[in-house]
Amino acid sequence: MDDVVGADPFMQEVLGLAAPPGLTVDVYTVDDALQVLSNTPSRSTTMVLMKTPQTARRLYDGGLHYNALNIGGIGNAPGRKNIFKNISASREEIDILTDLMAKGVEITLLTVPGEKSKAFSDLAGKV
Amino acid sequence: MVNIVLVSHADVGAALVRAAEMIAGPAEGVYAVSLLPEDSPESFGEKLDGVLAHIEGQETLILIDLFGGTPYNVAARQVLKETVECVTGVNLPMVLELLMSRDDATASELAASIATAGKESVRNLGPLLGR
Repeated sequence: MDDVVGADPFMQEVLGLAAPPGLTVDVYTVDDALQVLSNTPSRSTTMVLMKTPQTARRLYDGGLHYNALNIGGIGNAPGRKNIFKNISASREEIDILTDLMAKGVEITLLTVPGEKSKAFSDLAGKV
Repeated sequence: MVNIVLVSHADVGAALVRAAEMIAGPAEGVYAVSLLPEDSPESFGEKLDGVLAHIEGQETLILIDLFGGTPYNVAARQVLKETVECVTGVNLPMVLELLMSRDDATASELAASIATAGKESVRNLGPLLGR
């Protein structure tokens, strides 16, 4: 879910084309994704991909109270500092994650499959 | 002569160019853009735009390491340009084939021929040699 890609049919085709066989990719703007997910009775086999913690918060605040959130990689940019491996975050993003954690979301940091994931709770307060 | 731009995770693209030059000799009009661990899709896109700005409007073949992933996500849009073709799954035989056949071919012709060359270069030697 992403407002830019959700409004870009060409990019949606690019992403869908490269999906592993048997996997369906649906791309929505954040508002549309919220609508679709809220109206889907079984979400057990749905993986939600987002670019930023801001989107994760919109999803949560929109009423979709997920239990777990993995941070898979956030590039460095002005205003962001490195917090773990190739994950960087701004003050605002760290605050969002800290807040989601306080609401009971289990937040992990795992950038590459097979590695040991790091609990965000181990970093919170130190970053 | 068609320009070649390799886009890849880490330095795979740059290394493929070095390897191909060991065999086919120095090559011009070949560029490599590396996605580094500290890059975001945006910063990688800026690097790619920087390279493409030099060869704007010219016949260009973009070779992408993986069918999927950030280099693919960022570079795929370029195929909307009339003079640009994109091929994924780049390997050394493809780069070599290109360096030796791009003198009088269009990007579109080269894209088709190296897609085939790339597939044909993959062999499982055990069964082939009767082991």
